[in-house]
Amino acid sequence: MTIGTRLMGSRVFIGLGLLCVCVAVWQVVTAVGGVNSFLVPSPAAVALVLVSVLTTGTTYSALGTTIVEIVAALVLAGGFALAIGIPVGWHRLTQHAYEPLLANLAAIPLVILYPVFAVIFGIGPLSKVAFGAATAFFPVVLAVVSGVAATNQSLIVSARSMGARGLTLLLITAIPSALPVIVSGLRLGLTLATLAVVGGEFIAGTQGLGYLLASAGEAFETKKVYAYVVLTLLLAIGLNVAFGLLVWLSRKVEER
Amino acid sequence: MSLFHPTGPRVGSLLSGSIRQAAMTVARRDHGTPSESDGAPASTVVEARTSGPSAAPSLGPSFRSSEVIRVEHLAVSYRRSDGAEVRAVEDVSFSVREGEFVTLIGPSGCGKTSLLRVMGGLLRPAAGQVYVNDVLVKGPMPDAIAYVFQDFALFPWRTARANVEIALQLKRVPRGERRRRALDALDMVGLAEVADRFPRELSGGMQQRLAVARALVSNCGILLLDEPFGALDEQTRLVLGVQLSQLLESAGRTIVFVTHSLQEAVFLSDRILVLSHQPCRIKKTVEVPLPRPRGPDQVKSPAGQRIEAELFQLLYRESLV
Repeated sequence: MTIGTRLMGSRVFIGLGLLCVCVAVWQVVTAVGGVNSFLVPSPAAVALVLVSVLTTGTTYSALGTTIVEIVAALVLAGGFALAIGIPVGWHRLTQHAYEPLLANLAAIPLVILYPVFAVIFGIGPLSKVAFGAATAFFPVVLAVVSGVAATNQSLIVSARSMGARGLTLLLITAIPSALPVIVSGLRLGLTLATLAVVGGEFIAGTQGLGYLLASAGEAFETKKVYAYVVLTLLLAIGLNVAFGLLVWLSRKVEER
Repeated sequence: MSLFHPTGPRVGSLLSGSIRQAAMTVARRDHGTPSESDGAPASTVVEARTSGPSAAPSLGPSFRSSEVIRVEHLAVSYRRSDGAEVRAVEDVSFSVREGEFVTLIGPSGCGKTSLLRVMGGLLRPAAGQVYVNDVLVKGPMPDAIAYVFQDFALFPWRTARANVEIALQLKRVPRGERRRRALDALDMVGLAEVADRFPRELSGGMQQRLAVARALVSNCGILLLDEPFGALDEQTRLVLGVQLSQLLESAGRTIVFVTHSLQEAVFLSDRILVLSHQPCRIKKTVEVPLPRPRGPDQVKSPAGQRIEAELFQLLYRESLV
């Protein structure tokens, strides 16, 4: 335990250390000159703008919108991925038929279809949710299919011998067996949903973090752009931590 | 009760007889009277196959009541990856009496596992049929048959106790009773102390005993064991063989055991069915009249050695073919 904690401590220390070095280099380079301070403002200046941005209400409502969009996108993607991935992965025939198809579809950069999403769902939050869900769907569904398909066959036979059939058989063998893979698929899906939602707001939107970013850029407020970029970064980290916490909590609850 | 607790020969069969009786009654109630399944369905399935009498041969009606398993003209096929159909088992008929320990022995890959899986309702036969307690086996019968698999088939995300409980969970046994019975079964195989450990934290021998505990917990009258010691080293095999024989003798179950170890077969069985190479047929039935309870010295006795030598002869000739 102590070794683990110490290792964890040094891990965090090393990680933060590198971050500090990067920021320091950034600060030194901007202070020495030679870089256009309009294009690359100093971290100190960005921090000042970030603080002022964080004291305005519009930032928080934008942040709230973006978070809701991302969560909704992930929930939708997860729901569809489970509904489609479980039956596809469960039968060998459907797995062999559809897994390559899904893998190839996943390679399409969906952003080229973003105008279609905007036309169908409007340029409001709905199109971001749909676009985010579509983007996050593929890594999750691929994880579900491969996770379910990788279920140990002898566990299935064993469960059958003990009387498990149909849905019970699935719930007792494939689902718990695939769960770790599904969770890591969802984590990847979360990252992609964040990317897609903020990107969608950036391309064509009326609210949200990406919209603020785009507006600041159009107004040539580069310091503000950087501040929003940092904020997006913090949001991504926060969502990831929240996701990890959720997984940890559900495990605790299940153990009881 | 510990594994090493000395028990008399087949004392337990008296104790658990009532349980088995109850299970048989339930099974009969579900599938109609035994007379329905006695002769009639045999002809419908068998006529598609080779000739042969539709009733199990050489078994008088007086034996019927104590016959727990009846295998009639069983054939099993499977499709190879190149599409060709292969007969794994051909025209196998035998029956197992209540409380009997029957071993299937044969060259590796001869279809022993397929035969056992058909008996457990886990695999469909190409022809013939299996009756368990006079009921035609059409699928898994979790109330009558428990299975121990070669690779133990333990659920890695469940603790030892939860692995045993799963058999009861699937029968909708209430939580409290489930827990109690699982702990009892773990105690029986000497695993009570590690009830909260996960399978990966247990040694191979412990995993094997866990699999046995899971098979015992549901109080099935019949145990089908598919090379339960196959994945273990020689020493563990011997120790577990002794433990298993004592445990099973005290539990008084009807057992069909698959192995390719001659020593194991002699040590554990009442009767050994020697199977031929693919397609698997019964080559010879060898009785093992050694007294019980058996210890390691019994196997080394002249009588035990003689049987082992006979088995070796039979299998040696078989593998030369």
